[in-house]
Amino acid sequence: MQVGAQFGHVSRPQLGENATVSTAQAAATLDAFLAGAERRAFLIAQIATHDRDEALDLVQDAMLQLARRYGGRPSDEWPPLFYRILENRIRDWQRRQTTRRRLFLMPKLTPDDGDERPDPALLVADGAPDAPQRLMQDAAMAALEPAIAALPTRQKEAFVLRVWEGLSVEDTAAAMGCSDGSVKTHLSRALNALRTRLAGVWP
Amino acid sequence: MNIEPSDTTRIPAQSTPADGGEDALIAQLHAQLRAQEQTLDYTTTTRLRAARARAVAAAAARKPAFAWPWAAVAPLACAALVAGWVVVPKWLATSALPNSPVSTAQLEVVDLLDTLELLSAEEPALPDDNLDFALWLEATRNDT
Repeated sequence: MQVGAQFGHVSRPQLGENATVSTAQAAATLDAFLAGAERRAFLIAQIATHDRDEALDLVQDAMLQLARRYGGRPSDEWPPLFYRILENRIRDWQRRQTTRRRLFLMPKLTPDDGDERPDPALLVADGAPDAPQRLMQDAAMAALEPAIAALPTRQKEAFVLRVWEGLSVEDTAAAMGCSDGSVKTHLSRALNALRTRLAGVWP
Repeated sequence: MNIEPSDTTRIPAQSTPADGGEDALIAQLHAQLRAQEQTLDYTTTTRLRAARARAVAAAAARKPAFAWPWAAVAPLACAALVAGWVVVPKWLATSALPNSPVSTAQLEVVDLLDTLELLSAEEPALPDDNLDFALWLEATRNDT
């Protein structure tokens, strides 16, 4: 799917209807990519920030930067680029937070702060057919989120990109700016750490 | 790469059967995280959709890459205009100033041209009566 490569390149030189169609196709391709990635990106940002609004801002910034800078690149290059942008934004945000905390002696945010997840008991009580499943899902996620958040940055990146996003080793390496071997090493260590931390919760 | 939004079952393609328990853990984590994506509340998904729409609009408003030569040519054109309208007239005005080195050189050239014109003239340089006087003066000098 290479339509995204023509973003802005096709629309001007071609005149009339063809240009309009190409631009519309390119917009649709970008929209489809972002639609598939936005929820995941938000959860990644939320795990890192523990703040919904901050996570939404970070995702929006990443989307805009991808669209403005790399909208003309082939669409199969977008996933590593997008997640690299997002990781950079998250890292910048964390640096700013660290500086702010040092300056104003603010406490560090924890997963419990600003937790807007609905009470699982309410889900069970409302009689929804998938309520038990949702309860289990939330319980599993409640254990998994802090375990992921506790991973060292590079291990977390490797885990998110390889396991969650499902990028190949090569794309993950491109997104992380390191070698394939480093990706495998970081991922292996991340999985070992998660296995240890989730041993009592996950089967 | 498949980028379908509904793809919730993709697992890393690099896993091998030899990985054993690691593969199972990866599959479990992957499924858990992908399922979690579907539990976002309405407000969050709406804001995500709005952010996406802004990004798509920004991409559509991107300036095309082929416009870059104009960005490079514009400063050069401005420099040429400045040179033509400001620098050259100023240089000409400066060169016409009296006592300037350029002005002196020009005057020397004009003098040389005048001399050449006089030398090439067909009429004698001195009138005949002056010639008589010059001859008398020369004879007087020889006598003394």
